[in-house]
Amino acid sequence: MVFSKKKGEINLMYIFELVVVLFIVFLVFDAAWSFSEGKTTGKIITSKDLGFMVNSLLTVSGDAVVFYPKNISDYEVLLDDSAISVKERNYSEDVPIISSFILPVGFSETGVADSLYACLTKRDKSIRLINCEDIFSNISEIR
Amino acid sequence: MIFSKKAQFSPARKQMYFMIIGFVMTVILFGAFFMMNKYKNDLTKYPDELESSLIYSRFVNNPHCFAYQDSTTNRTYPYSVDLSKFNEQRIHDCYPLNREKGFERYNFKVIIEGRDIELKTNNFFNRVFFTKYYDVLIYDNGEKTKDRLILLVQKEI
Repeated sequence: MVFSKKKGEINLMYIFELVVVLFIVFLVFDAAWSFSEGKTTGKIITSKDLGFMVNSLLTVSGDAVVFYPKNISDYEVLLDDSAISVKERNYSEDVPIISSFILPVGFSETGVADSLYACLTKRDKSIRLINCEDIFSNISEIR
Repeated sequence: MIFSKKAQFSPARKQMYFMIIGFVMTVILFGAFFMMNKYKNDLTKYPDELESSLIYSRFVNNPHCFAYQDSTTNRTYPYSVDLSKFNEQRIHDCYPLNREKGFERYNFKVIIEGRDIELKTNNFFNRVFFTKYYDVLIYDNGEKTKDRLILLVQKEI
């Protein structure tokens, strides 16, 4: 019997031990699983890359189009308010990773990329983030 | 003897065991999480010079900053400085930092070596992280001269 005298105490201890061990195993597996999926790392890298690309575009005197070669099908990328935010696609509660930059006065930026590949365009003082499929008919050719 | 009866003292020993194991497991867990986090940070790390160099390149390449643009052809000359643009207003328009929180960003002091003229962004406090030198062409009322631009870069404080 579980609650009977000394034997019961030991059984309770075993149950407690088992619960603790299972909890720890769950914690470690959960951390390892989310780490192996690498979504957070991917989001950080994508947001930083695109932030650097915006800064690079600002060093170009004329108009330009830049193709971001990484597949972004897992993410939704938003360019707005002097920042690039990257979050998981189809997961509205996901916390976005934000990479900010500073635009010269008079410049504007906007756009969303939610397809396979993202492109950044600069036309005069406007920087836009778009799906590459919108401007390139055959992505495999430019890759 | 105190430890002679197994049934009497095994729960106490078990408690000791749990205390030690609990402590060890906590240390191991924290260690594992710390290592994973460090690995993640290492994966996403980039050289400090990269971002700052991308920012200050706009100074000498973008006509909305200091770069010279030919008024007839509209051609912009890379790595050039138009002296008529080299003023306080222009550097703040080119790299507009928040007056209160601008120190959290890269700040720059730009010096034209040959003419000893300098400009700085609004939160530059002489905490220089590194210095860069650029050979540039200076355009001054139609005259073109070679010079060197010195960029003192202050990392976010």
